[in-house]
Amino acid sequence: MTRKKRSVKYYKHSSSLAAWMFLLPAMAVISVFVVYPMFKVLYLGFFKWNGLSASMEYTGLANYTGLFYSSGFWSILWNSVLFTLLTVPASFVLGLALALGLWKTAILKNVLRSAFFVPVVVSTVGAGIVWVWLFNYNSGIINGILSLFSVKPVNWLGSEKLAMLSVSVMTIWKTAGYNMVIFLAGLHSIPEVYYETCLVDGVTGNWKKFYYITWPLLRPASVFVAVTTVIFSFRSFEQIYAMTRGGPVGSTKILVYHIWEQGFRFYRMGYASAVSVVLLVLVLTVTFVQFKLSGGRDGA
Amino acid sequence: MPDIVLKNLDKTFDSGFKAVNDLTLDINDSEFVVLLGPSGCGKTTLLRMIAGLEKASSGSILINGEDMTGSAPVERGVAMVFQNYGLYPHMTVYDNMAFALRHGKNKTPEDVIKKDIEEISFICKIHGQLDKKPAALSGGQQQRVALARALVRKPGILLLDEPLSNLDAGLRQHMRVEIVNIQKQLGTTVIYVTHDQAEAMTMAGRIAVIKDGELQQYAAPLEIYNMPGNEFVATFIGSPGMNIFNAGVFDNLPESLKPDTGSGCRVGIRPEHFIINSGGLDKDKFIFINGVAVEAMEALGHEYILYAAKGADKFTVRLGGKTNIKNDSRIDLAASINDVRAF
Repeated sequence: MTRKKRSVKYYKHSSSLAAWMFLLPAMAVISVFVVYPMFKVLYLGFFKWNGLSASMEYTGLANYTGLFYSSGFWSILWNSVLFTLLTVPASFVLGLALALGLWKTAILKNVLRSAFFVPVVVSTVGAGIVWVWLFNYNSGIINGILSLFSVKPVNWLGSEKLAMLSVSVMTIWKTAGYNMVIFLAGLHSIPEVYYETCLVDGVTGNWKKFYYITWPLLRPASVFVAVTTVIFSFRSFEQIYAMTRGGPVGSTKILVYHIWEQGFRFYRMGYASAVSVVLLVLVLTVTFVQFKLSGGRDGA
Repeated sequence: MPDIVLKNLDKTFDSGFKAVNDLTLDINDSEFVVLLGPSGCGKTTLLRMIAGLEKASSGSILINGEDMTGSAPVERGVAMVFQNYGLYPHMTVYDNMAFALRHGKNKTPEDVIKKDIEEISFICKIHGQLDKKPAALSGGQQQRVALARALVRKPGILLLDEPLSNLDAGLRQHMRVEIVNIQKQLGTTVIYVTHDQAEAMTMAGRIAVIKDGELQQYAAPLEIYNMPGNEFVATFIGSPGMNIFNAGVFDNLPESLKPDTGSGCRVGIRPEHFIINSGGLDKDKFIFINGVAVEAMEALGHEYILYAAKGADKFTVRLGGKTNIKNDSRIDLAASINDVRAF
């Protein structure tokens, strides 16, 4: 019996077939839960639709022109940017500071690391409710502590000027632990020999070592933290929902809360979709710029 | 250039492991000393203690007669090349070399730095690589950069921790010669850690053989080879190492070779010091070991390695040139009394 000869082409074909078979489950999941909704949102942005009725009215770019001409949208966009500016640098620096502080600490290392990481694990809505208590005007512990120093009670969440700051404080508390873990991983990946070389070469002083050695070698972690926290920040919703409902007077209304409100409270699904598309473009642009500014993924 | 004296050095780690045990060593000005020993013998720990990266548990380190036991590395005037080089990946070769000069204890002006780097990079043959980052260099080039970075500081003492272990055999042999040449050119006192006896034999002015944190012997390479101080040194140095026998194996061991321990004495003979005894040898100048079984043979072209046995003693014999000895035959061997060591 002679064995059937199979051409090179056959094997090439069959191996790429196997690759496709392996990829299929992941592609199916991504298609259904990521690609399809994305295009659906893009599509819905051109319609007026209440989210329930069978009929959808094609309105072209009306949703987009509408939002760009409304002053409300621009103030919401500004709120999102302000929220990002308040939370991202602070949680970046705090995460880095915690990581540097706990990097070589032997005492209570794991206890402290866990303590700072707990906020990340807690549900945002639950944590938001706890912070509402903490920020409470009459009985909150923060005003209670301030009163010990004879400071008058502050209306943390009820004041237009302070509500955004208060929500940001809670968000920083919530995300700093995550950044700390990323930075710790980055720090532990720096070989000890670089610091020993410094020591032998007489380059002493923690600031010098941080500036010339640690910070440059920590760059992959820094880029990751910067990019992810910006994305998280623009995507924030739960803490606003739990703490302020966008108030007072819309002072904490940010994009995702606006999308939810328009889509699921006012049933303006088309308009909400248009805002979602704007958010997507915004996040992609900011992420792209961040990558460019930090010199891309590799270039060490 | 400074001299170094180590006095009764001890190092016990927190885990209780004793890495260095009562070690005393003196290193002369401009000397090239190799610390040689098997893995885990404490030689790297000892080097790190000299550098000031590990604290001595007890004992003292004197550099140029000054007690430096507790001093910071920079005060000791040492430079070090680490096993994995420790080149900063985010800096160019030039910046790597300039780093200590720019940010170290004594700030050097940029124009002096430039001149020094040019000079040293020529000596180390990396002058074409100054603008590259370490990742763009081959292993051998990285090794040279690490050496150049240490040398550009003009250190009195250069410490090298297995600097050639990451290179392939050909490059290793080449770099051995280069490092010795550079050392001679600059007159630096060098302490070089290795487990490779070929490196030690070819590079060292003196070799310190270390085992289990203790100094076994400290002497010039050929003295270590020909007059090993104890059985460990005898078997560790040489490839294959020295053969160790119970004295009873020999038919005519002279009294002069028997130490006070008497019949329990052990005798060492290097594989290449055996000759075939075909009669006519002077009984007073040679010792005889007759009726040796040849168990296996390796022909290496320029020499033969015989795996031989007499009674319970197994040993190796190295014979140069041609031979007609066959496997499983019996031969009579002899060795000059001058080449026999007793332990």
